Amino acid sequence: MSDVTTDTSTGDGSTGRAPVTAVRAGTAVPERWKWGQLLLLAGLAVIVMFTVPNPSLAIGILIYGLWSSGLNLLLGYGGMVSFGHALPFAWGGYAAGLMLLHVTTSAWAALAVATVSMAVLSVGVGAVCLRRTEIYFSILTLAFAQLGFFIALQWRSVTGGDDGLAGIPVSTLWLPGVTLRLNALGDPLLFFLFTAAVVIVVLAGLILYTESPMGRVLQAIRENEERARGCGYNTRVVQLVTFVIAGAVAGLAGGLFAMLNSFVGLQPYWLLGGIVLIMAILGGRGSLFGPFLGAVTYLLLESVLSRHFASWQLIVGAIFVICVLTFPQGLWGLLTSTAPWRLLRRVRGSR
Amino acid sequence: MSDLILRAEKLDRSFGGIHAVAGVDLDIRRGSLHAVIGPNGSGKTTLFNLITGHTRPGAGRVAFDGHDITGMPYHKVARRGLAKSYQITTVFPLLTVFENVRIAAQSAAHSYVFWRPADGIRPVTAHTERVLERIGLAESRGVIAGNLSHGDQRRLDLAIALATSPRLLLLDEPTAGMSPSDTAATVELIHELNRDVTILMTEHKMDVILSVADTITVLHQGVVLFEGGPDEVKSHPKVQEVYLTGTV
Repeated sequence: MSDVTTDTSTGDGSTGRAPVTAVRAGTAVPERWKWGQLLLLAGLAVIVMFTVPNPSLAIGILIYGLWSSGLNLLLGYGGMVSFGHALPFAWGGYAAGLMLLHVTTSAWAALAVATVSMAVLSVGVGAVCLRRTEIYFSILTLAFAQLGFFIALQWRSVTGGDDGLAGIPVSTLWLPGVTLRLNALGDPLLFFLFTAAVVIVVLAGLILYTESPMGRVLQAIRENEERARGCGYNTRVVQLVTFVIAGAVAGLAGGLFAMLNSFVGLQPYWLLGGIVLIMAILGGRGSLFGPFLGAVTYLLLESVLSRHFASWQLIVGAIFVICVLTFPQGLWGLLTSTAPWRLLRRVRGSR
Repeated sequence: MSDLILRAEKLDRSFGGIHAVAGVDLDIRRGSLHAVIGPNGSGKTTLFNLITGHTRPGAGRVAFDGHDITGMPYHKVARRGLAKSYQITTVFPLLTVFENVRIAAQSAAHSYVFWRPADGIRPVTAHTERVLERIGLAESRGVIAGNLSHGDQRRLDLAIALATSPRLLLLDEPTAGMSPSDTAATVELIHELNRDVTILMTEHKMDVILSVADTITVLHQGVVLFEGGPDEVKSHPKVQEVYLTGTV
């Protein structure tokens, strides 16, 4: 995937500018933000909370954003394109749903099981998929997702097959001193705040990972795996750890989604492996916050367009094509390269 | 034994019908600047790959600092203190010069740490600064590596290898594609580096080899033809013959 960015920069170079400025001023290396991304996410959450009229959509934006942000760890930071990221999301949904239905209504327990069980499963799936690189890796992830889909379809006694798991009870949230009921319909604000808190904590963890020595090695592997090995790194281990983290985050997002809808089934869960990629690419691969922008954009477009056009996907698809062609670094790259503070700094730097 | 940092014994490797390396013995003394030369196809690259673990030997063994490293995966060999600089410039193109070197510098002690920010680890950043200073890239620390000139990218390639604090540095044609002035600067740098790290290199430019190396091994069709100091190699009749007839 990193090749795409390199190609763009050389493309810019042929327009007559000196190569140095081409790569710099072009979209190849978007601004890197660290902890500032947390503030941006908190700001975005507040804006979504006050402007999006449909609470279920507002909460969905945070959940999809989280899922997509975890995927971007693989895609943007690791250069590994997963076509099968529906698997961990759906697994997390089923795991949390089954916990709430049959074991306990504790939100913490359901989310913990969704996350941890997916992390364990990811070790196995990742170990197989990472035996190959590039497109072969992508195809293997897709194969696992398809495998999961058919198991979910056939194993009716556990997954409910075509009908899914309906009537998942409202979960309870134990906090020190109080016990709250996370009812997305009855008290959407509480559910929104809980989701936002979880998402912000997880994003903080992801940022710490990408800024840590190991996360930096991941980015070096994306740039040149052979050289990273030459520096003494077992590149497979770093990639596997990343794969597991991305899987666990998707599992958590799936669990939240099951709690939001009180339903898990084939319909949304298994069909979103492509959508979540679109969100990440649209939002921008250069940051962890970018995919949240992608999720907002995609879901708002969907909700507005689908009200007026039966074939709204056509329009979204066209917009996606235009976005990829005009700003391959996504909304994040677009914002950071045109934002006023960036321009200011460039003026100051050239002096 | 302790005088030798690397000892290759009876290394052997064939590809199909081609016997690329046929029973090569190679001893590298600690602190030396050892060059392997030979015409194209004489087995230099295969020999390097056998040492670094990129290629498994058909027979023979490699000992690095007294430990058997035969067939060990490349990252483990690297971790033991054997660094390689590449013939085709190999850097992390979209990372800054500083980050390129920092990645290598952190490998010794902090490779799999994920719970603290990398930029806050003082010994690593200080080591990175020292390496950049030494290689002469301190000025361009903030530049994206892919934007460097060809000569500077080669220096960066060397800086990455050096930042892992190796005990043996493998240089595969370090001056390939360089202008005469860059070549001279690199020769000087290699001399300077050799003061505290053992170097094993290959090179096509004979004047470079003769001016830097203290020991030269001449390979021809996968076997060692001759080994000695620069003056002996220059005057050896068989070497002259191979270089006059073999390179055409």
